[in-house]
Amino acid sequence: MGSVLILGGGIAGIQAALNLSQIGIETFLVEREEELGGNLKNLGSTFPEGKQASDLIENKLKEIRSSQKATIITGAELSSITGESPDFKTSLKTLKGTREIECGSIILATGFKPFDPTSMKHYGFGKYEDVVTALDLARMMKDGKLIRNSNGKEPASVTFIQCIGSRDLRTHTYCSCFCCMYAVHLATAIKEKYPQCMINILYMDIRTPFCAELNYEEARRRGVRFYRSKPARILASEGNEHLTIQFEDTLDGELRFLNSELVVLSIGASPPDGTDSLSSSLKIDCEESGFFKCEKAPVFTKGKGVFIAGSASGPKDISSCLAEGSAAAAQAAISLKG
Amino acid sequence: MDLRPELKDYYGTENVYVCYQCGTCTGGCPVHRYLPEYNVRQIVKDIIDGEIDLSDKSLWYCTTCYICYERCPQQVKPLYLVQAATNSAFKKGLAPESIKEMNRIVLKCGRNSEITSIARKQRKTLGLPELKDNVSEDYKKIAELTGLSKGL
Repeated sequence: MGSVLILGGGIAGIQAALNLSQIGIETFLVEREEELGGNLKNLGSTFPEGKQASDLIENKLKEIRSSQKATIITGAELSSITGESPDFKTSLKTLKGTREIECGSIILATGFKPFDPTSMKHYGFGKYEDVVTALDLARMMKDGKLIRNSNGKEPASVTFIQCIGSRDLRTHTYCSCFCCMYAVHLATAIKEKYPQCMINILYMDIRTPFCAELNYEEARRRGVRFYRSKPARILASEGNEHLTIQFEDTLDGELRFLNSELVVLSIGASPPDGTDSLSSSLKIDCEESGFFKCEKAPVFTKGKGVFIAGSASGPKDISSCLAEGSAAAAQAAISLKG
Repeated sequence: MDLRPELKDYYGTENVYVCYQCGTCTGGCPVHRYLPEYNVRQIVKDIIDGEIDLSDKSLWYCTTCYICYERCPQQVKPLYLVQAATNSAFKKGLAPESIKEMNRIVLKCGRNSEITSIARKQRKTLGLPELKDNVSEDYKKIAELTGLSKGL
């Protein structure tokens, strides 16, 4: 029986590698970065469950390593991929040189790239130090240190702006699916640790399906304020004491000027670099969004023996990534049987 | 009234239905800041809902600064929707009297205000040539073709 190559060592790729090694199939888990864990490793805790993200990753990796069926290759770029199912030939560029791998099936678990909000000039990202991305905030919370970059002090108020790089014809038209969930989760986490901190969330629509609805409720219960609006602009006060967010509260039509010491841009997801070239070498399609296209059902592609898991086919929450990681592992195992 | 069937006749109105009502337009609108009754987001909503009041004179408060046009995340071009509403209102004779009067003056003397005796005197003192009522033939044709003369 052949082996499976998994491209991308985020949570979906890890889950696929875990399941494949559990059923005794030889697996290569390839990650571009030095460390496994993908975007999830940057989060302190998972949403909506609120578990330690590092535990989730580590527990799975421990089991993968002990199975001895999986080879983990980090810091590796894919340089070429040829052949077809069940005889793929791939070449990797690693720190130790080139490495050739032959495999019978491929799982694309390439995830997403956090949206870069530099183009949103009217929100002052890159201009004002206290306008940060949600990823920056998640890192701060992970390190247990919520501060303003401008003065190193704890902010008395934090305002989230939703749909940055999502549902926007100028950037990405799709909903990035997880931003509302992480925003209410982070807002609640801040309230837990800093009860005096004023927190606002400016949203167009709150999308917290299924269990995440409870996180939304918890945020409201803890006094997080929600305004239905996408702001017009963000300005810094003289002396940089705070930022002023100018917006229309669309529920009552009032123009408001909200002061906040920290502004958090809830960034969405972009397709990762290299998706295009990978899709052409594997002869599979991409969606208009730039992510890989699923054919007929999730995890299937146009290419025989090539499967997708997790955010590689569009932004997804953690539990969907886990489910797709397992589903792709099952389909890859079936395809190896011929 | 329902402006939707007419929208295809007006430039730049094709994105109206992708509006999320996020309020980026109104939040940055310099007119709304001083005249809250002019709410461009509400105008877009009323057009989508088929319930725009074309006799509302606040429709005419837009200064065409293009801030809403530039910032709209969905490229709805709210400014052009407001212009579709004012153009339609004008054709139906629903424009405010002040707007109609301004257009009558333009059609009469080629300017948006009549030549005053003070202006005449000042020009004479400064040695500038005398102003005359002068409506170009092109302008008359435009007024005819766009229905401007009818709306008066």
